[in-house]
Amino acid sequence: MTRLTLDTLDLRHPGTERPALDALSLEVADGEMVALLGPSGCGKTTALRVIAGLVAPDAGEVRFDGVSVGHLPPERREAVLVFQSGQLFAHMDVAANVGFGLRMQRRPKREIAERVAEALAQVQLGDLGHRRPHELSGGQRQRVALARALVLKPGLLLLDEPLSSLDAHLRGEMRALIRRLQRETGITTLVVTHDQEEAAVLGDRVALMLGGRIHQIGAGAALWNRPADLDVARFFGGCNFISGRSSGGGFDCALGRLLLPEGAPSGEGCLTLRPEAIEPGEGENALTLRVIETRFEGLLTRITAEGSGLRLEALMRAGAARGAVPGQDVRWRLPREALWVLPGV
Amino acid sequence: MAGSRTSATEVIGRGHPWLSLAPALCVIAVLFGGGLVLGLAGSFGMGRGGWSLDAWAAVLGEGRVWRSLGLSLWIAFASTALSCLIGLGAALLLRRRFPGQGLARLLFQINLTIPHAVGALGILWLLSQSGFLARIAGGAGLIDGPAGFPALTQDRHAIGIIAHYVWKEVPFIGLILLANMQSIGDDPEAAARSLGASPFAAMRLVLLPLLRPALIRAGAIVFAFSFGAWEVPVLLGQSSPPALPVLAWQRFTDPDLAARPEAMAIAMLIALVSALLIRAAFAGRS
Repeated sequence: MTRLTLDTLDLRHPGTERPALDALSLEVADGEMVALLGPSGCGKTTALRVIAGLVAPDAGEVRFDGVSVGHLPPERREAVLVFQSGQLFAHMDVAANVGFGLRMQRRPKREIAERVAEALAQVQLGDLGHRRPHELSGGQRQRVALARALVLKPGLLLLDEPLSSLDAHLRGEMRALIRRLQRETGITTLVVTHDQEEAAVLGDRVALMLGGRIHQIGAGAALWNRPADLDVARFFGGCNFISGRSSGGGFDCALGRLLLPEGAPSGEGCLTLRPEAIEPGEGENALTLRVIETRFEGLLTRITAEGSGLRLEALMRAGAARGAVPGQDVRWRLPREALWVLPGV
Repeated sequence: MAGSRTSATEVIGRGHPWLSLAPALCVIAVLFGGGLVLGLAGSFGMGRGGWSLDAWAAVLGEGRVWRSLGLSLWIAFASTALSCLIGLGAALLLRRRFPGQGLARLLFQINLTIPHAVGALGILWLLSQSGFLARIAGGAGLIDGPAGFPALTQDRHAIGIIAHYVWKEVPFIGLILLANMQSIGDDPEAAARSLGASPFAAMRLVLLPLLRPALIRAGAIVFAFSFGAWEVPVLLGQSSPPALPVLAWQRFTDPDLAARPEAMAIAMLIALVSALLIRAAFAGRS
């Protein structure tokens, strides 16, 4: 399998103001699955195409196992890209689609047939080899696209939004399949997605890409709860930002002194906590706030409350939100472990 | 229930498809269908005192008609094959991004606007034995006189006619294929490349099969036109045997009105052969 290194990649599409890739650097270990997460237009698909060799960067290097592959055309790179739309060849049946790469390698027909059957069985489509792509469902098409890549046993698998065209039920199934196949084969995988949940489930690590570069990389939970900067916090739905000063395990701000978890950075900064982390009731870091507005959002209710000139937003389940009535005071607890300080913001 | 209510609303709201199509269908039926029916009726002697198969028997039993049919098939097949081949090549070149691409595309399309008759006169002026190329060859001492220049117009192999159709239809095929390539996009080829195909293999195994339906459709139009049109063979073709449409036109304008049903029969023959061959091309596709 292959270790992937992206070294300060720059790319600007002609006629656009913002760069698609802006000094993008990333390291994916041998056999690791990294989820490249970002909003649409952040350059994540462009990054995949650069790695696959379909687009040349303006500057910077792509290395496989430490060796630059910049001079290699796509067909000679050890990387296979699975497109968002699957891109099955409509004029070939499923078996011919899956065997396409092996045919390009001029493998004997018998070997191709055996390996195609094996790959189709891997994605649980063993009996559909004779079908045409238009006779398949969206989920089946995506699985054929996956089999078509896996059958080549590539050093690096690049998945571009593999689940975005599927409905919720199929998405869960496909997610589990990708996870299982990646574990079984150990192929180094970079999966691009705009879906936070998908990134957290699929990636051993999640790399958040904003404006053409990686803002933070780490375990999914770390990005949610310990964002590196304001942009990361905002991307993950953070909406409570309180400026103040962190010192000696506490944070002094307009709301008073709040106790921080261990390891929180010191100095001037911005306190952030996720809206769903706020709990009603008494205890450590409890505050009195006046409810301004409540908004029903399905499973959860979003409550905006104000105290000492600061607004906080909380997301609570129906039971917990029942006590919140606009114009009345509530007691909210800001759990210490849910607080985080963004230094220097 | 909700579904059936929706579809009912749709039918009321937009009208039945046949109803919506009716005005256009009426025009087509009267102008084209009517012409076809009248032509067919004329070939069976309608309006000349009773029905008969005489005209068809005369036409099908005449060696000149079969020789004309052979010539027209040769013109249509050669023009279509060359136009498709060159049009495809041109479209593959023009889809790449390069400086001056817009100008190149404009120049490529420009002869779409020139009428066939004008184009045919241009070919005559260029390729005939007293034409521009012959004069240059004469001036350069390559030939002694007009007779020394190969006959490229009014010739046995209909080279002038085929040259004209290719000149005129290459941009047409090219434009259709360019539009098709634009809607297909680069991704199918990119997917093939990522799976290990060379640029040529990706084009041959993925892009060309995707373009095939459009190429067959465009080719069918070129075939039907070059098989059935008469003004270019009149200007650039030999007199014996003439192309089949020219023969039909000659019979139709014959002072002897008895030749009219034969003209109609030949015209119907052209339509029939054309329809059968195009049908076969589409059947071969699927």
